Amino acid sequence: MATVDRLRGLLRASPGGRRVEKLQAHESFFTWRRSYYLKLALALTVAISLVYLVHDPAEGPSGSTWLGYGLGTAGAGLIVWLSWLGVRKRSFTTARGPIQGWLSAHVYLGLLLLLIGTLHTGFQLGFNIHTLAYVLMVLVIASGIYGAVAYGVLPARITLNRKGGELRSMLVEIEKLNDTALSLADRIDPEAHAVVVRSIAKIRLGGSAWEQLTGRYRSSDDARSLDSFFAMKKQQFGEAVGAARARPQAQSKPQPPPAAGMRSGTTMFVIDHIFDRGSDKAAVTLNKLLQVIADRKELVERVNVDITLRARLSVWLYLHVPLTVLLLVALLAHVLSVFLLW
Amino acid sequence: MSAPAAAVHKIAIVGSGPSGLSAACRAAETGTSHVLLEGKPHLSDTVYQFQKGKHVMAEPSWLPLRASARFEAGSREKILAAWAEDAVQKGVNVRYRAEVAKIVREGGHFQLTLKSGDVVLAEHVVLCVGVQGNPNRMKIPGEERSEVQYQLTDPKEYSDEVIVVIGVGDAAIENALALSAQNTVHIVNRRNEFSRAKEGNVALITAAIEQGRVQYHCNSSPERIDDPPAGDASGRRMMLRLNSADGPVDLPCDRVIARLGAAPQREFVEACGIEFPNKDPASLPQVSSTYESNVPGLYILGALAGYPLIRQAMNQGYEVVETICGRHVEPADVPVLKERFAAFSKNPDVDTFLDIIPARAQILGTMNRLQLREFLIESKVYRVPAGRQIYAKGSFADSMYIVVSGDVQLQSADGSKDPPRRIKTGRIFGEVALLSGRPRLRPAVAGEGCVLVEVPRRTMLKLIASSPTVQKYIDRSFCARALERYLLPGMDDAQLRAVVDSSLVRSFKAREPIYAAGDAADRIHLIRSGSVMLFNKVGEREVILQYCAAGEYFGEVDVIAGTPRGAGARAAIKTEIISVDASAFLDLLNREPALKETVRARFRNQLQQRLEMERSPERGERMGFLLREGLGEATDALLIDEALCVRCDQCEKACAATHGNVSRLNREAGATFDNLHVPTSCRHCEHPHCMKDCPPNAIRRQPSGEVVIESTCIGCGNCERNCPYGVIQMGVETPADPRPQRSLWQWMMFGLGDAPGTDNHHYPKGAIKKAVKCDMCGNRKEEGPACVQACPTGAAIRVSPQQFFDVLSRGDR
Repeated sequence: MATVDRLRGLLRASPGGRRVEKLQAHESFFTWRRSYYLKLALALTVAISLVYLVHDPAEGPSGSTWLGYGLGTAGAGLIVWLSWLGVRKRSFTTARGPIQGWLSAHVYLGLLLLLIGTLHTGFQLGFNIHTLAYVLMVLVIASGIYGAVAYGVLPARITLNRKGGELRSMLVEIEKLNDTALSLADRIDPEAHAVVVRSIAKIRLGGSAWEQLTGRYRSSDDARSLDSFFAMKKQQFGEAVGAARARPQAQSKPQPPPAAGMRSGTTMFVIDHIFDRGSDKAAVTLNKLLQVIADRKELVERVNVDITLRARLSVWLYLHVPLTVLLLVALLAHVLSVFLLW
Repeated sequence: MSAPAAAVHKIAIVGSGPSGLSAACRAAETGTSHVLLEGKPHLSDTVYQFQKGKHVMAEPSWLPLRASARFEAGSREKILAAWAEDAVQKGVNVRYRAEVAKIVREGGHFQLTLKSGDVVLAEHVVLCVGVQGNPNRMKIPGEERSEVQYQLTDPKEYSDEVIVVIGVGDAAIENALALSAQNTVHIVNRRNEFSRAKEGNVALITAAIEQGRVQYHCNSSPERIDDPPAGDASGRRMMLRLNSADGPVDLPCDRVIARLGAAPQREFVEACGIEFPNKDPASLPQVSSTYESNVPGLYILGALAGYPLIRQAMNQGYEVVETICGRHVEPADVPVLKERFAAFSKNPDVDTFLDIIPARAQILGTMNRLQLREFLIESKVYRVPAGRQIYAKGSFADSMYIVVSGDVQLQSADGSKDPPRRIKTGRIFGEVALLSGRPRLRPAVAGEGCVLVEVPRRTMLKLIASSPTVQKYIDRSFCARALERYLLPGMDDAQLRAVVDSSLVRSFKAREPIYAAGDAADRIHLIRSGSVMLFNKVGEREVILQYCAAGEYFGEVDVIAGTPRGAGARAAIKTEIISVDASAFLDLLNREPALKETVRARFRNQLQQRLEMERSPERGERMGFLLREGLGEATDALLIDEALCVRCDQCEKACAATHGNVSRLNREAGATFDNLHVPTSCRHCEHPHCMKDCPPNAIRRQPSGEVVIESTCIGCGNCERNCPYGVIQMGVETPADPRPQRSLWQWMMFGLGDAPGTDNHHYPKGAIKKAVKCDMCGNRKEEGPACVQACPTGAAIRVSPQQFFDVLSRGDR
């Protein structure tokens, strides 16, 4: 570091280096063009609120004052325009300008709509088509607020959970671990093989909509039964190693496992197995198998977390979009009924 | 050995590929005595080995076909059938299974010894053996059995067999894995590790071995193959003995597949007395304008002569027979050359101009007539009116220029004080941008009477590879130009000479160290191509301090300070640097005070940047990640900020919608680090790997930087294989739908048709697949790339890495 030390003094005397312009492109839709639409929405909020407070119609605030009509027209226009985002974002070939700007406007002007719609009602609510349209609007906006928050919070958590990998590679990895577990179990004994096959059949990725959203997945009893099985096997190996050491060297051929008394038979089989193949090797294989099963469990859990996070990221659209369609229908009915029946 | 055949043929043609077959057909048609020798039991083995039903293209389209055999674009089967028919109809004298082992010139004729021991005599030999070579054999007893094979066309052909694969190259690994689905497979490795194969293949085979799907024999080599011993219980067809480190191992098996690579044709060709220009394995023998090699009477055609396309090769086959028979033949390319020389005269005499042009420009003098023809056909020759701009500053290069008449001014870049530079007749310019892969540094403007030869990238690289003289000429020119431009602005050639003389061009592989911290600082390095990172070691970890792109220099801080290297330097990708002796540079600095000031300003800037980077090592880590992902060689890359990405795949949909329903980007695939995701999408590399081996030369770099694949693509898939980032795919753009296209509204309201941006892979049968990749939406000049436009959250950004590294190293992210 001699160079740097020697030159640090030099540098202190010199004026600051040139600064590089910040990348224009890299902005979140929340702060697009220096939060242009946030500022616009705030300004309109203040303006509309002031007008509403100052305005004092004879029969009280309602949709049928000049302000009420004004807000109603603005609100209806806004609703149609906000819905147009669905068309705009699919017009890949014809439309121009970044969608990011549209989304930014959609968020802030959508929030403003809550104020416009509410003031338009003049707080006159009841059991009628007009209030239905209002309630639908509030629901659409509420689901939208959830969406905006989810978009702000969840993406980074998905990335964190994936640890730099892709979902697809995680699934491939699970399959690979399954294969490895099977071939390791093959080297232990048929019983281990059967247990591993059963555990593979029981792997569950994802689940019902409710499980996905809550992130609480029904666990199969598999983990516990696997644990107990391996604990038993380990013990068997421990016994087997002791027994094998005590066995006379002369006997070279393993005895076939006795048919009766399955448990003790397996132990005897394992003992012979270990005697022939070397106890270390079998124990090493078992440890490897345990490690593989543990790795797989961790991976399955992470995949399920991923499914949950992505479900939470997109669930709101299943409300937001159909409710918007209903809102458009109700809005039409509201407008028609006001003009035809009034 | 049998007695030599009595008859001496006028022409012996070795190999029945497009050129050989075409020559044989012409010889048969004209009644010339000939023999066509083919090693395989069928004609045209290279085309024969193509995948079934493969569509074969007929590039280059500008060249008229003049041959006695038919050829037009079509399926492999159709082409093979037409050739076989033509060969029979014209009465070609073909000998199958006649692999030639030796060619000697004796007396007035050639003596061709076949593998079988037969000898064929001929006055002239036409060598059409291509460049693929023959597979290496095991050379063990028993290898002649029919169950021993050296290639595998369809792994599904075999099932329930015990198959031994010998070798651990990519082909061997791929075969072993494919066969293991239905067979018991053993793989035999002479050594202990897999060093010759691609990383992905090594991972796959290691997993297969670990899982027991493939049995592995390391430190083993095959010794002999016998019948199974009597009473063998395995029931297998043969017994392979392996010589392993632990002694011999007997392996009962049904089939042995040896994938030991191919012996290049070079050995055989050299044994025929033919010379190669240099030791570079890619180099090809030189031939005259009539395709005659340095051995009189021995002609070379097709890929071995440097003509890999079928149409060219077939024309040559025709021409060579005409030449041998003493009939004058005007090459098929004359009309094209006439057009090239139209810049000089209305009805140019091609031969005269072929004499004049190399006399004008020294660099062209090294080529023979045939090379020059090819060179000029691939290049453009044109007159530029005085005062017109040839290229602008900042544009990317796909070619360099030779001034064959008049002169050219390289003007000073905006805001710089460098004097303009005059390029005289016979000199070259534009090579710095081409070789470095960086944008042009100053605009070029034509002078009076300016005629240029514009040499495309591939032609230029071919020229450099073919001649050391050209290489040296270009190296020196580049070095002087680059030093003058980047390191020592405003110096003239005379002042630079001492520095250029002391300079040294060296190349480094990706991640290879250039110098280590603590080394003596005796040289300043200028990056000619590639990029370099400077790093400090903190414990075992490397913290990156600085990234230097092509055209920048590094290592001057220590030289000026007079201390040993304060940081290590390592090539980020394959890199060429020009090293300049420190003393020559310091001498020049002392003599030129103005220069000293420029260097001092940069020096301060560098130091400050390095101190900032040392303060925040996490930025260095991010940079390290991006460099590992190959962004060091990118000119424009798509990055995704995963903290903003809501995984909606709008980017992919937009890409598919604007590119014939084939998305050229895969958002999810690719590496991620610290919320920074590098999706699988073209980086438009400085030196695109995809361009390396494109037979029709269909991959081009636009002046604005994007690398695009043109419609002349023949769908061979080389670029897909050569791209280290996996961003090229073979796809078919959806052909015009006979049904009316559904509108967005019809889909939205009634669910008719596909959603916009659906990636459509239902290709019609027989559709021609071509290479597709990101073209940066070149046709959307105003809107910019569709993927970025369509991103609703601002997560997708396209940046040039230089810009990104600058920002990263200053902490503005």
